[in-house]
Amino acid sequence: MALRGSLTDFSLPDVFQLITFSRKTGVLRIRSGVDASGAVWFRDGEVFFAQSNWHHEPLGERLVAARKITPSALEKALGIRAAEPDGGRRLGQVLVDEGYITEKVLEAFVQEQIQDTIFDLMRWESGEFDFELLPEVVDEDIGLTVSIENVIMEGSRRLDEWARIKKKVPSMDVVFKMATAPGEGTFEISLKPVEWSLLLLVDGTRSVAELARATGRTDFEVARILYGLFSAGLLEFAVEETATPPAELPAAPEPETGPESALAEEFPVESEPGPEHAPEPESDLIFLPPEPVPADDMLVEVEAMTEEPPAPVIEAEHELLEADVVPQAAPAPETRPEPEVPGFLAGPAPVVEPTDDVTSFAEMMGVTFGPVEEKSHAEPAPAEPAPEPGVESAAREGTLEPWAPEGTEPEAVTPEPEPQFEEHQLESGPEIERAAAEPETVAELRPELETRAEEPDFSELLESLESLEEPTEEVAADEAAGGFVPRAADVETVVPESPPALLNERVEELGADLSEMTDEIGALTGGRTSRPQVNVTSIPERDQGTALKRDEAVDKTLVLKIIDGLRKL
Amino acid sequence: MQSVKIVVTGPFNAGKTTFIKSVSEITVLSTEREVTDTSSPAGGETTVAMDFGRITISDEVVLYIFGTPGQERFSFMWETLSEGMLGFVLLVDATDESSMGDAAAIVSFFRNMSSVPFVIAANRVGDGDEALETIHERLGLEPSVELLAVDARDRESVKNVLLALLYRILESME
Repeated sequence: MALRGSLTDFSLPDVFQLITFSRKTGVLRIRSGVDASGAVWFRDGEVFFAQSNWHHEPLGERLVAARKITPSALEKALGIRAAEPDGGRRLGQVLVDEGYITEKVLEAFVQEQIQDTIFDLMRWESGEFDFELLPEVVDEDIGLTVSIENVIMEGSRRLDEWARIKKKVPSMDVVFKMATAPGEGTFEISLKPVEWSLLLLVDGTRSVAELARATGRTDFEVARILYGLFSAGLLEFAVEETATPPAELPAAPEPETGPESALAEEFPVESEPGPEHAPEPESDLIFLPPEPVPADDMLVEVEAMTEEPPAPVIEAEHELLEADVVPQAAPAPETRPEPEVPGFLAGPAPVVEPTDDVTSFAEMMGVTFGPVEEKSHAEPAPAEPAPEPGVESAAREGTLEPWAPEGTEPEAVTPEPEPQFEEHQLESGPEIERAAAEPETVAELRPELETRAEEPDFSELLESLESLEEPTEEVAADEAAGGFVPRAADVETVVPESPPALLNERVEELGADLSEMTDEIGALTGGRTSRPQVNVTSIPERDQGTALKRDEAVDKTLVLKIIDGLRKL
Repeated sequence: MQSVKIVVTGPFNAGKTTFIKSVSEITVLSTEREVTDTSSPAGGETTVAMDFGRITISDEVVLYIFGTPGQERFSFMWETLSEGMLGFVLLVDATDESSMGDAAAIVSFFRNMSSVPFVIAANRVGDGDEALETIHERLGLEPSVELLAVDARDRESVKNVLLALLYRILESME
């Protein structure tokens, strides 16, 4: 008898625990909305495979991204794999047999792939699940075992970080743009290739979810990178876009249906479309290096850029990078479990003067770009370039993803015409009682998860700092006296309005509650919402006084408590 | 819930992220990137924004530990991260003499920015007292500034440093 139910009634960790404790062998299929589905395979209660059609990165691409293999090695392995008869070796095995990677590396990456998939599934707050018993292990079983406890813990750890990331990336519909005043623009910063490619796609129109689709990475990865870029002051909210209702955002590409689609999902595209099929950049300039640029070469150095304005190159890179990251069939579920957009962000679309992000980038870097076509932010984001059908199918045929299930559970990734969850829905009965009773480990885990979900984060810190003085003219004077004075060159520069100040203005117009905007920076600075306007190179002199004061809400009793608690730790 | 904040600062590659990871009860939120400075012996990754760790002391008190990025070009973060801190730990790599100048500049920056108590923690100390004395001299600190040896990978060792700082904070309140 199948085990079926709703994720609103039973969380996925609960279901995992139930299957694990009953040591069942079978496949757990999860569906959220009409086009998002995933499946987790169990052998005697232990996970050995997982996949979803939401976001997934094929094994080969993971290995290339991690520089475990070269793109040419992947291409060769895919060629060998394609020549194998049905039921032949999978890509991973081919790579091992050809000596490109070791078994250990293969297992590590497959485990990571499984964990990433399950983590994505665990974020679904609504949907339906259906566990089907299988009499024996199936083709997907490659002998790997993933401890469900570890998977849940890893998911919880990531959720813990996710909860923090949400402070700055509160929704997958949030839109970022390049900051107009990135930390005074006097420092140099190096970026990883993935961060660089993502930064180039941040244009003030793409939401976080769209960036994830465009780069083929998970929401978590993209949100984490954006968090870092935002924290470093390179990004700011595109206010006018965040106010756009999510429904107006460009729809994600619909998953194809039918046998071909199922095949496509089972055998995702491993290689990039050939250059002849890549959308041609609008610019005539084609200076894009053929190979990924080493991180060293991506050093953004203001002086160098000023001496030799590379604007056309950047423009060309931008265009081609967009072309390179053609989204795969990554359907977005209708009921994507995203954190709610704060009220002030979800309000009516404010009238905001359009800004040119490229120009902003130029201002940031102190370089002059060529004529740039002005984009209206009121317009929906441009549709992502899509490969031609012919190219897509050819790529599928030639580039198979061996670690995806083959020929055995196509329905795992293909939405069924009609849900079949009514008949045996677990709204009552012994199974529910069994799950509701919660195995001991679940009971132990749950408080931890709840604690993490409700942890005070920086709002607690803000409360503790509320007693401190609000930034006043006196403080500003102190700061000025404390040496945080821009150099003469900086003083002469017209400093653009700081992002939080702009945001505050919009919030006031919308009549929203400013407290909703609290983020780490605001908390850490005692409620000050502006980014620090500090010159990097100006260190205060010894006799210029101190600008910062300790948290005066903390007294001796509290310190003694901390000492006592730390000793017992 | 009362929260208290301590900052861990120090030169590039002193071990600040490791220090916080050793004692934090949560996965340290760290915004790091791969080191591209090939001349540096550090390798690996370096923090570009901040590290964030937490120790729940009781139901009422939680201790937050913030790690600053070590490179001076990120010093604009230092002030932000230091607002409201009770004290700070300056972590130095005892084996990296070239970083002592940076450490001296950082401690000078923090002392001028805030009058909160602090301690110096020397990571990767080899010969104990002798090495500590050398570090003390190199940093140009007065004898009253406490300097401790620490193994940033060891939880107990890190706890001792934090306790030393808390005692300093307690003294300053008296």
